[in-house]
Amino acid sequence: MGVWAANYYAQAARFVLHTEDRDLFLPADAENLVRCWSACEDAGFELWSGDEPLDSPRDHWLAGRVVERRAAVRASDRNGLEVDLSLVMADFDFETVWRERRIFTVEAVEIPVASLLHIVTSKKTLGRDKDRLFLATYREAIEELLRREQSD
Amino acid sequence: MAAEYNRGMDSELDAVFRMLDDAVEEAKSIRVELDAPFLRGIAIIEALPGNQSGADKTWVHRLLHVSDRHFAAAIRKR
Repeated sequence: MGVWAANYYAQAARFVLHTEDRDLFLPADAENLVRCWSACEDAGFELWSGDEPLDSPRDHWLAGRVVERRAAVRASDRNGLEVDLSLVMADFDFETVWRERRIFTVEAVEIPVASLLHIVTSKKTLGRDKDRLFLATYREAIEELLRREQSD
Repeated sequence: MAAEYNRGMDSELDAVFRMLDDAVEEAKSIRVELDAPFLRGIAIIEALPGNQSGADKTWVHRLLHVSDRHFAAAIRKR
């Protein structure tokens, strides 16, 4: 989800927006979260909660607390690649987003991506400065697309 | 020589920072509504053949990777 996901819908390089944010939307499911944390650690990622390493043991109890608070955990490879493991997407529950996802492939790896409508609606609801900038930029791209459509 | 260069960079950086400050201020005033044309555009983009499940987006991934490397290589001057 987020700008990173929206980029997968771009039809040309000029519509791809640089972003440092990579947001992975996960279901509010403690068992799944433990598996996700474990997979991240196996891949060499460190897990952070805010500015501190995520508590240990990273078990079902801790995952339950994180799910209760809908807290975000960040996975970092300490080399610039950071992924927010988020349990919240403004305006939407996980099931709705999952049901309407697209599955794109990157180097033969399947990547489930939220629908563009869900991403944009979520950004509108969040309404932070960076979300408004994203929407304004996207609106320009859409206006260009509609102009092209009319001239065809 | 170095001092002159740095002064040159300082004024250039100042201009960049001013532009960034302006952009932040501008962002606060931006209002984008998800109106009918916007939503129609989204529907068109989602319906494009290249945006259906199974589409290969490796080019997007590579482009973002290059972009990441570019910004990561930036050096703070002050």
